[in-house]
Amino acid sequence: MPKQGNTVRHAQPRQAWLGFFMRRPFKITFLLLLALLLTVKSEALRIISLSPSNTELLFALGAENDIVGVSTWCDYPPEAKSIPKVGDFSNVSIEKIIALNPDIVITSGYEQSYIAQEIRTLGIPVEVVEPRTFDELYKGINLLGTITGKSESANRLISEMQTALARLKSALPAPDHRPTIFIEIYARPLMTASTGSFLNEAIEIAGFKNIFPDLPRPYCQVSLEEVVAQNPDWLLILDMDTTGSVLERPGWQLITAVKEGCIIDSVNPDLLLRPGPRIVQGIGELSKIRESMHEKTNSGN
Amino acid sequence: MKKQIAAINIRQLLILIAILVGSVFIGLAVGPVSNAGRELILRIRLPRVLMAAIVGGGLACAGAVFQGILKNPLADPFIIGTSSGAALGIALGTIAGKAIQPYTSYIGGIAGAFVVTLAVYRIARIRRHAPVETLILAGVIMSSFVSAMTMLVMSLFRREASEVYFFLMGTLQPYGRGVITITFIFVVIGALVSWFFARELNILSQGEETALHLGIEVEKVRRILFFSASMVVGSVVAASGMIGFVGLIIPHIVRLLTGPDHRTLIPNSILAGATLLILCDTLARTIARPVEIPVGIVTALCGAPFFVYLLLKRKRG
Repeated sequence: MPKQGNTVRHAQPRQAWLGFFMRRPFKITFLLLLALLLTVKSEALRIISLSPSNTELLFALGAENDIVGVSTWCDYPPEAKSIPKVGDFSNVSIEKIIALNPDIVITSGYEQSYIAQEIRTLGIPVEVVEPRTFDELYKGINLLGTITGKSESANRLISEMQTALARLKSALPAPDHRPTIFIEIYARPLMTASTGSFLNEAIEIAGFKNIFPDLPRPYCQVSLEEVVAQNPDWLLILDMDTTGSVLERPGWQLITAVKEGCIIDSVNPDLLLRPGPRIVQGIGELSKIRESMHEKTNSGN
Repeated sequence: MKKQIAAINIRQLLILIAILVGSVFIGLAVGPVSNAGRELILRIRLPRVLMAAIVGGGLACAGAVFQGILKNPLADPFIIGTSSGAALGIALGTIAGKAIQPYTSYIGGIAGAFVVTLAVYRIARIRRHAPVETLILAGVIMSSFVSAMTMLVMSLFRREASEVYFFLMGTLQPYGRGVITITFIFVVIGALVSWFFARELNILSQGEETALHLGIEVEKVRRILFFSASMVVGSVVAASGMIGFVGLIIPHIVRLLTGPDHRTLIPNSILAGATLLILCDTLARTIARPVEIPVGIVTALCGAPFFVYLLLKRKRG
């Protein structure tokens, strides 16, 4: 056993060498550093994101490798589809969530608030990110940045969005020249969005005026005759696939927007309904459509 | 048919028609927009009032028929799974057609109502005979089975499902060309068939034995009535979603007011159902404007107290 003999021979100086480090403050520091190193090295943050907008935000921050679980609704960017699913938007499997051993679960509000509550009682930290305004969106992005250690990317993303929005806002027409718009979320029954919804702020930045600016709730059912009476210049249809039938719907021909063909149905609803990184693109597309119509009427005159 | 006409109390009928006409005018005159122009009233309010009348009449007629055949005061268009079948059919049609469209809803709704009614009938049939108790049991079980299937389909296709879900909550604004006409045709056929068998219904509600002794082909009559009522329910659900309470409560109210003879009960129920739904929908449109309340909530809120009032009044009288 030559090796053992070796150890024995060097025992004396080694102990002295160790003794220096084994003094209390050093010991603690050393252990802490080791723990930190281990966490960083082998156990990256494990995040479960239950809403499409938050998944998009995490990807935009470059934190995609930390995501270990998403909902079936999280379909953008395409890579999100290959992440394990823990359920759809409002039905999630708590067992799957536990099995994925997450450090934190990110949910949205509304329908998901009771899921958030349930996960919290299991001792898993939950953050709710449900922005209703751009300020809240920036806060949400900052929060996600802090959680994932990507604060710099978060700041960059926010400033990019702010620059893009500032550009859009600078091109806005005077308030009394803005066309009115009706936002259709569902056709049957007729559901619209109003103050308190992200959508409302989005269309305002795109240069439109909501014909229902002050409904009691962010999303409400309204009657068709009320829409006809308000007579919007534009219709924004977010109810996918039913768009072909707008012209066919009885009574809708009374609305200026339908008469003049000012129906926006080509914008991907996900761009506008998800308070995520692509919202700026959605708003950009909306204002581009508004401007193109403006030019057409001007050249017509 | 002559005997049906002979049984009708002209005075009652005229009063009910007058009330219906009055409610149509109320429905046309009152709306969220106070100074509505002619165009708006004709092209937006009128279709909606017509729809409410057809749907309300259809539901009340189907309710009277189901209560008569099943001899069950709790029977309504929803009890034997007919409307759950219609809902499942609409859900499947919506998924197939990628969106709620008139034709997918109608085909799906009526086919669903028919298939489920047929299944219930087959399950309940013992040696070419379907006793009432078995029919109700089979219907209730089939209804929850079909509802569970609808839920399953909806959780598998969440995107289409939210559309179906909101649609089934019930709305009376016609959403496509021809919806009113199609629903009207189905409801009229169903109503005429039910009325034609009103005498048989009277005897059936006395009990099957009596009916058999009086020479009525119980099975045949029951089957015909089942399917005509299912057709009414299927088309009504396809037109406006699930509007509860009208089918349950109107026949009872009418029975309390004008008696249990199906020859008068069916036409009177149709008129009263149309009136109730027009008035409830007018409330639903205007009470919280510009927000609209699902009409089913209003029918339950108005119908139940009125029914209780009638019951109490009869107890005292």
